[in-house]
Amino acid sequence: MTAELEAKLLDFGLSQKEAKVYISLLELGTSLVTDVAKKAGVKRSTAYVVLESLAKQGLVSITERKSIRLYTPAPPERLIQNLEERSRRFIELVGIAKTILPELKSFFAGSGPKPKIQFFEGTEGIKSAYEDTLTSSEDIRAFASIESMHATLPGFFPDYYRRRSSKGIWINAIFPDTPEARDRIAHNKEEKRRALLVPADKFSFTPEINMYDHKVVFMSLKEKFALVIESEELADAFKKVFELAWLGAKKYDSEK
Amino acid sequence: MTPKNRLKKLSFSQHANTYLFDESENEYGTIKDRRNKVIIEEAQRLHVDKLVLITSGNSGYSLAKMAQGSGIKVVCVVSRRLDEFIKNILKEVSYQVLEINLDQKILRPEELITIARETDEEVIWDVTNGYEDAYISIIKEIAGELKPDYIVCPIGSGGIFIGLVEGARHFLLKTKIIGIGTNEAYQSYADKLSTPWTPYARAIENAVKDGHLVYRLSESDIKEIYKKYKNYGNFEPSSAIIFGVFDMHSFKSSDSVILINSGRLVV
Repeated sequence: MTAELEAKLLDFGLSQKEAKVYISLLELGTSLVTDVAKKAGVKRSTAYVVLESLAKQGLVSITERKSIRLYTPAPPERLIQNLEERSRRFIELVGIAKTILPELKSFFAGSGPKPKIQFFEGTEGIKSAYEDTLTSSEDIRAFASIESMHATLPGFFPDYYRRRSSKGIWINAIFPDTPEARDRIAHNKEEKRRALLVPADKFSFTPEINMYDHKVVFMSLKEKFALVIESEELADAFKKVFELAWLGAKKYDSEK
Repeated sequence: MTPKNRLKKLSFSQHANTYLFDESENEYGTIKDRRNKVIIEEAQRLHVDKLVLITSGNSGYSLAKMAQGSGIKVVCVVSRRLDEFIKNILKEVSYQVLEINLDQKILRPEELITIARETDEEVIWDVTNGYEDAYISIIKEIAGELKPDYIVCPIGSGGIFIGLVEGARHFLLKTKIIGIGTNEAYQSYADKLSTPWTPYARAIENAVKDGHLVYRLSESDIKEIYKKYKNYGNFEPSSAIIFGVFDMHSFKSSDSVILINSGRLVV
């Protein structure tokens, strides 16, 4: 149980030693450094440094009695307060990032022509590819698998759907017919989506392919990479392939 | 937001294909309505408490009006030299108006946030610059009707100009954007366009290298242009400046040109 709590505290931004010392101090109450060190299983000199660090974060208070330093834990609610402060600070940083974006972009634009093919690795790379779809000036055409998308990027999608909708970008999507896909299409209207379902036993697939503007985006959600190809010719051809598939999918969708 | 008839043909004998794209018809009378709408949506999405911006009137007014009912406070930072009438209108619509000697100090986002802060708990954004992507929608609306050779807009800090350049790039148009601005960095008859510093300086430089154009006019020319053209639409000196393009640039008779009226005199 203590190990689980320690792991949670790491998520909150504490180091492993800070987590151990803080939990030990919570159990002990006001204590001498020697007792804290013993309880946490760290060296006395380390405990000093860690307790000072926790004091800076407002998680420990220090008092002196007859030249002896005593350490008292702040109530655990202080952790929430710290997280709230950090979250506020991060949102302010988003605002500052938005204001310096023009300067950053001017360096980007000045570094020569943009590549026609971009390769993105890992889940963060896939997120970058999804972010690019939000630059679309037209309806996105997509072959996609809802369960693969949600399993690969948990927590990313409700916000992505909201942001796409708020930009007025519609998506025309063909999904394998699964319970997850059926759940999702219940939100079609608010998520600006037109969707057709095709039998999963015949047409099951896991990657996502998006087409918009002059771009074709391939996302391998299992192998975790994305490829953004910018080509008027290819985009045009893939859009036509999609339109053909859409006609076929309509037949299955009407048979549901 | 944009009525279908926003694009109007102008009858200049020597420039047959000249159109006016009229942003004075936006809800609060300014092209800035577009970016302010995006700002409010983003601020609501991320639960921002307060927005602060340096304004000479229109932009702050538009932002404050759009924020009404959202729970987001708008703080307008204005020059001490700003007209009292404008200050009073801003005070009516915004949460707070702070007067600063902007001639002597260039305020960075962190400084503006500090100035606007009342409590530690507040989440504050400086929105003086940025969000130029909001202007890409203008290109989308124009491209739906015609593919002009040139689009002419006023240029102050350059956000609108760069937004339009990005829009032309985004929609793969060959259209060149022409920015018309003032030579005066601190105080101009075209009061919305004087700016001592801009984060878009390098982006403007890059755009000019790509063939887009920037012309700067003298104060006497700006006054003359306003007098001559103000009745061609609902203009103020900072928006009427676009007509200066005809003295600065030689168009071919076949060129199609769209002039963007960035707004009317709101405050």
